[in-house]
Amino acid sequence: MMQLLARYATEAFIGLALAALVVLALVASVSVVPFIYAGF
Amino acid sequence: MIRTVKDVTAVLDRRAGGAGRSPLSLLRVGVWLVVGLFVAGFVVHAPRAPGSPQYQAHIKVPNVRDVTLDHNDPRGFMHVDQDPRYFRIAWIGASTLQNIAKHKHYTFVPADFRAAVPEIGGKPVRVDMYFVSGGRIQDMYNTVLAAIHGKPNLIVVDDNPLYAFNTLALQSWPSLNEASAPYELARPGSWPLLASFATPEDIALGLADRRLPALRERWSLAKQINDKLDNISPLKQPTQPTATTKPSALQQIQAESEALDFWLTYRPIDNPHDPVAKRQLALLHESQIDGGSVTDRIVAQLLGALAESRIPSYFYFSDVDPQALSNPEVNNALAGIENHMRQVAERHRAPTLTVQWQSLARLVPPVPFNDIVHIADDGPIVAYLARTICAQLARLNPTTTCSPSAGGSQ
Repeated sequence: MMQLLARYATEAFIGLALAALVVLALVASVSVVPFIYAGF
Repeated sequence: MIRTVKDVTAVLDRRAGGAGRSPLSLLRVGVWLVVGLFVAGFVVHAPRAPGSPQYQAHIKVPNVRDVTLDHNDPRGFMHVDQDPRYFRIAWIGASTLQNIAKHKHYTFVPADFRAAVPEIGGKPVRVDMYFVSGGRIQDMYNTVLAAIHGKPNLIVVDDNPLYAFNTLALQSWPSLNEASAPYELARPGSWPLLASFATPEDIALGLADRRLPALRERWSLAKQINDKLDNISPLKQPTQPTATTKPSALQQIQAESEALDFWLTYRPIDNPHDPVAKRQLALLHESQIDGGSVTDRIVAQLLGALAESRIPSYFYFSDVDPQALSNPEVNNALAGIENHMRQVAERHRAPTLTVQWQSLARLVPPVPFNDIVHIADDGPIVAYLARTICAQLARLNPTTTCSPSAGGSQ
């Protein structure tokens, strides 16, 4: 029983941590550098 | 005692209850990942997407707004609500929407149209301006798809004939690929365009961020974080010179924030001192009008999407400098582009769609130009558009009241 609980808790932790990392990586990859228009 | 990798695995298995050892366990991790992405959308709140304050400030007419977001923002455009109290017009165009008159009188054709036609069908007109400055034909198509999704009462597309079939300048707003990827996926004819322009990331995120706010709002979140980081950074943004006297060339270079600014000033791509006709002709000759080019597919998809939407739509070719048009070579090159547009348009006829394949230069009295493509007096153009668009709406529904107000147009 304890082993099952540990397994589920670990799976939830890994899943949620991955979600946080995905959000962080995607936020960090968006450029907010102002656009400089090079033509007309 | 831990000696090998197997020993480490055994310890982890004991402590983690064997998580990740079976496909079912990996599936549960995946489910938690998705749950986490949903929860993140509730935990982290992004401020509402900002519009374009630099352009909105120039719009003095009520009920006209620029809905285009930052050039890097993957959302592309502001969320457009479908308010039935208004007659909603989605007006799409690149920099040719601008009216850059002398004495700093800077307006937009859609705003002046709104002043000229304040009511249609008994409802006040609201114009959502999809202003994609520097936009090329693929950007126009992506924008049209976004506008159709907003379900307006009327769509107007301003396209520059210089770039409609120019195969050397196809796209300058790649951020729109993600925003329009789901709509392009729904149109099999657009799949070659998706394969050509969108990355796998654009398509995956375009599909995912429709349901996941944490991904959809990531540009605003990144901006929030960057603003905070900038405050603690020892590096500061250079301030623009505020002296009343004209800054020296060296001071101007010092005030530039990007190396690109320097090269655009001192190594311009084309010679701005060449006559307008020569520069115009060089651009027109970049068009491929013998059929089978990627621009043909984009234009066909664009017109097809407008026709299938059943939303009243008016597509027109913007004005061309009459000074350049007086050159027979420019005139012939433009006529070739116009005829090719007519041929493509004939394959996408619909009662709701009007394609004005001739440039406005052939239909309205000559207007002064500020530079190679931007008009400096949109009065005759607004008057013409008000007349023809109202006529189209009346043809579709004879009970629609739409008439230019006296004195509204300049």
